[in-house]
Formats: sequence, structure tokens, C-alpha cells
Amino acid sequence: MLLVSSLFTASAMQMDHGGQPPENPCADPGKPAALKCGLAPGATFDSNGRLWVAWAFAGHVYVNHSDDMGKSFSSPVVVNRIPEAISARGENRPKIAIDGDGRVFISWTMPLSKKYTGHVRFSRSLDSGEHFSDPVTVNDNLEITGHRFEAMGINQRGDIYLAWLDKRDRLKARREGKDYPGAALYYALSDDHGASFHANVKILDNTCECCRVVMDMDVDQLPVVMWRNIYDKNTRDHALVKFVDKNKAGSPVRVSYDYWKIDACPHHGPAISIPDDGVYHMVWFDNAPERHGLFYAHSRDQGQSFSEPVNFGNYESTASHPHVLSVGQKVYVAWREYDGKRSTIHLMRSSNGGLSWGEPELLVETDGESDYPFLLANGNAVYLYWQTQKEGFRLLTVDGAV
Amino acid sequence: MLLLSYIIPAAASSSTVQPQLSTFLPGSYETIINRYQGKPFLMVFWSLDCPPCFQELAMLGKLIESHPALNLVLVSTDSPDDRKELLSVINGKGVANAEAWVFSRASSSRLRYEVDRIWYGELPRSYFFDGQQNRQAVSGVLDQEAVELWLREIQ
Repeated sequence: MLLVSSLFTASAMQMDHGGQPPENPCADPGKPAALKCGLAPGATFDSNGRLWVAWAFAGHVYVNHSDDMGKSFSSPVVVNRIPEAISARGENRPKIAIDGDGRVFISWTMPLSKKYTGHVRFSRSLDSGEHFSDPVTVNDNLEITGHRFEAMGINQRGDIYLAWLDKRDRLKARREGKDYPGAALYYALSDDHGASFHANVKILDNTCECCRVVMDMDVDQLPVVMWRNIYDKNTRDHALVKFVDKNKAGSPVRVSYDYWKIDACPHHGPAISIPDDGVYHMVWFDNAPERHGLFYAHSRDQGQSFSEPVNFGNYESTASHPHVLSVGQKVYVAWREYDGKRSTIHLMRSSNGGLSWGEPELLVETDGESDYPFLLANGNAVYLYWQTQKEGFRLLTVDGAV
Repeated sequence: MLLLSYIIPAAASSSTVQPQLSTFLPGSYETIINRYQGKPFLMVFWSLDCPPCFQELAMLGKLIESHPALNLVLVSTDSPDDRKELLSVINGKGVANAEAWVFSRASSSRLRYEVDRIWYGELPRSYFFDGQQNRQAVSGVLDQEAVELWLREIQ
């Protein structure tokens, strides 16, 4: 009982730090797991158009799927049979990826006994999501320090990449009496369908330590990872790195020049999407006095240069947590706003690879707590999913293009 | 952990200064503002989830020793469930004499919105009120010298 109750406390919905109101039926960890009560879901479509969702509830990650665009779902299958703490709010959530042969891969962060610490966990299913392997810890440093905010990506070859923010070097520096701002970006590669991972590799030191890391695959099937970095003493602008070989990251490149100097936790990470034409589409948030709000930019030369960032969303309505998805020349950007009563999801579209944008549309709203919005592609069709406390998991059609 | 938290506060209260921890509800911001009308004060939002916040509380703890007249309002964006830990941090950082609040379980987006529409939840977040209905917002850890300068200005 003690275990269960402390797990549940740790997993209050969203980045909002308040717990669940007492009348919330999802507050009872003894209830059967249901997607409606699932915390911070991650979702994807497989190559057959089946929607898969991974979410946390009372110390377990669960997976279920839908063949009717989210109207009905299969019974949840438990991933980790032994309950453990799971980071499932805001910047942290279970991730799900499916390869071309239907293998299902799940990752999440397991917080440890001390604050701001965690391990990157991984499990797979070789039988199309009916059973999952016992989770393994992917970080090969097992000290009680941060290995969190993991991003997972899979390419057409089936290589699985995990990249995360790691504080092992910070811990070492502190032990030696040295200063170490932020965390480091590490990754690990599995090229045997998740049976094992190569040794962890550091990409760089001194990243911002509390924003989600994101990843997509370039057309050459090598990952591109984006995160909030620390420049100079305390400037938290964004960076990306493109891999130059299967197990070799290139040189990190600075993406944003908003000069947000802040010794604080923004809890507000970026997003990236790379369609078949190889253009990198990126969105992020900054709150610098001069340049603030949500921004979009793209790169047509694999991160050598970037378009002039476009500022979008209503800054006075807390426009936040942007997501981006591109399919061919079409680009979609979604984000959340709050008007004092309702949380709303807004969308803007580009039909020319992000060169120009239509007027923002109000897509959906709720008057309770809500998760971040995420865009998903199923072939050329585009959907948005959003988990809200009142309505549960919703899948909305953004573009039903054939 | 939850079980323990019900037992310990009662036992701990005998030896330490027990600060009040009020619940910050919709409307609380206005209540606080009204109460300090004409008086300068510093309002600091923080959380147990925010490492730099601990640095800031420690700085404020030291500052308050040399400036006992500083009107300091601390608002944690955690939840009343975290009461025990919040009180222990507040005591430990030497800011037990500050006015202390914690976000209610109500939507924290709403609470934040009432305070400041362009505060995106980054912490620590501090507001300097000059007693003449002006406030200045700062995100990130405050510089002790800057706070001291402000204290001289308002005197």
C-alpha cells in the first residue's frame, strides 16, 4: 500500500504540480487500469494503421490499441509486471515505437529515491503487444543520479535509438569539487531489435536539465536529436545534432538565438519532424525579454542553416508546449493555450514546407486539467491526440488526406 | 510515505518554529496584494521540483537575517499533500518567518493565470512589489545584491 500510494503521488497529471482533486475517479490506484485515467500517454500508428497508446497508471506502464481511430480500445496489456515509479507528467511520458515487423518498443523514466534522479527503462514485445519483456535499464551508469527525459526513435532498418539527459558527469564533477552546469546528452543504440544496447555514448556536456529531448529520423535513417542546451553561462537556447554514422553523432548545432538567460527550470521542451523530403521542421518555446513565446523554424540543409524563426500563438494566453508534424510539403503545428478558464488546442498549417502559414484554428478545448497536445501521422493522414482529465484520451482528425 | 506524513508534523512542531502554510486558492493572489497595499513586498514562487529554488530560498534565508523587515511571501506550486516536506524546507532554509503558501489542488494553470498571464510556470519566479501598485517579475534565481539594492530603494 505504501508503495502504491507514493507512486501515485509522484504521477499527478501534467506539469501542473497540484495533485488530483479528491472527487476524481482516477485517483484510486486500486481501480482497474483504464486509458481515461492513463497518465501522459505516448502514441503512434503502426504500418497497418492501428493506433497504439502507452500510458502510466499506479506504477505500471500499459499498452492498448485501437482499430477504429480511438473510438474503442483493446484491453490494456501491462508492460512492467512489477510496479515501479514512472515519470508520467509534462515533459516525461512513456514512449512507444513499432518497427516494420510489428515489434513494439516502450521506454520510460523510472524516478529513484532522490529528487531529480532516474533510470531510462526499456521493454519490448515480439508478439505484437501481447506480452512484454521484463524492463531493462538502458543507462549503463547506475548511480543515483539523473538519467531522464529520454527520447526514443526507430528507423526503417529497425535500429532503436534512445537519447536522454544524464547527470553522471555532473555527479563526478561535484565529487571533485568542480562546477558542472546542467546535464549531459547521452544516447544508446540497439541494432538487434531491442535485445541489447551498445554502450552509452555521450554527445555533449551542459544541456538544460528539465526539458524533454526529441528525436526524428533523417531520410538517411540516421537520427536527429533536439534539446534545450546551455550556452555561455546560463543561456538556454536550443540545439540539434545529426548522426553522421549509425553509431556516431555529428557536431551539435545551435538552432535558436533567443538568448533566454535563466537559472531556472523551464520544463518546456521542443519538437522536431522530418518528412520524406529531408527538411527539418522545429518548434520551441523561449521566454527571453526580447524574444519570447513559441517559435517555428526549418532547415533545408540538414541543420547547416535555419529559416528565420516564426513567432506564433498568443503569448498572453500562455501559448505553450508546441508540437510539429510534417508529411511531404504539408506542415502542422499544434500548441496549447489557456484563457483563465479553458485550455484550448490550436493548430496552424502550411502547405509549402513551412514557407507560409494559414491562420491558427481552434481545434478543441477543455475546462479541466490537460496534457500536452501531440500530432501523429498515419500514412498521409494527420491526427492530434490530447489527454484531458474530463474527457480522457481524444484522437482528432487534423487532415484526412488520402 | 503518505502514512508517515500524517504522523510527523504533530511530533515535529514542538522543537521548531512552525510556519503557517496557507492554501493558495483562486482569489488568494488578490487577497495578498490587498493586504500589502502601500507596503513593498517580495513574492517568490517555488517548488520542491526545482533545484534552483533551493538556492534562492537559502539566499533569502540569509538575507532575512540582516533585513528582518523584509516582507517575504513564499508560494510553493506543489500541493497541500507536500506539506511536511515544504515545511521542512522552509525551516531548513531559514525562511520560517516568511508568509508561506502552497498551491491548492485547483488547476495550477488557473492559479498562475491569476498571478500573471505571461508567467509560463518557470521557477523560481519572483515579483517585487514597490507598494505603489507596481510589480516587477523575475524568472530564475535572484541575485542577492539585486534584492539588497531593491531593499535600499524602497526604504
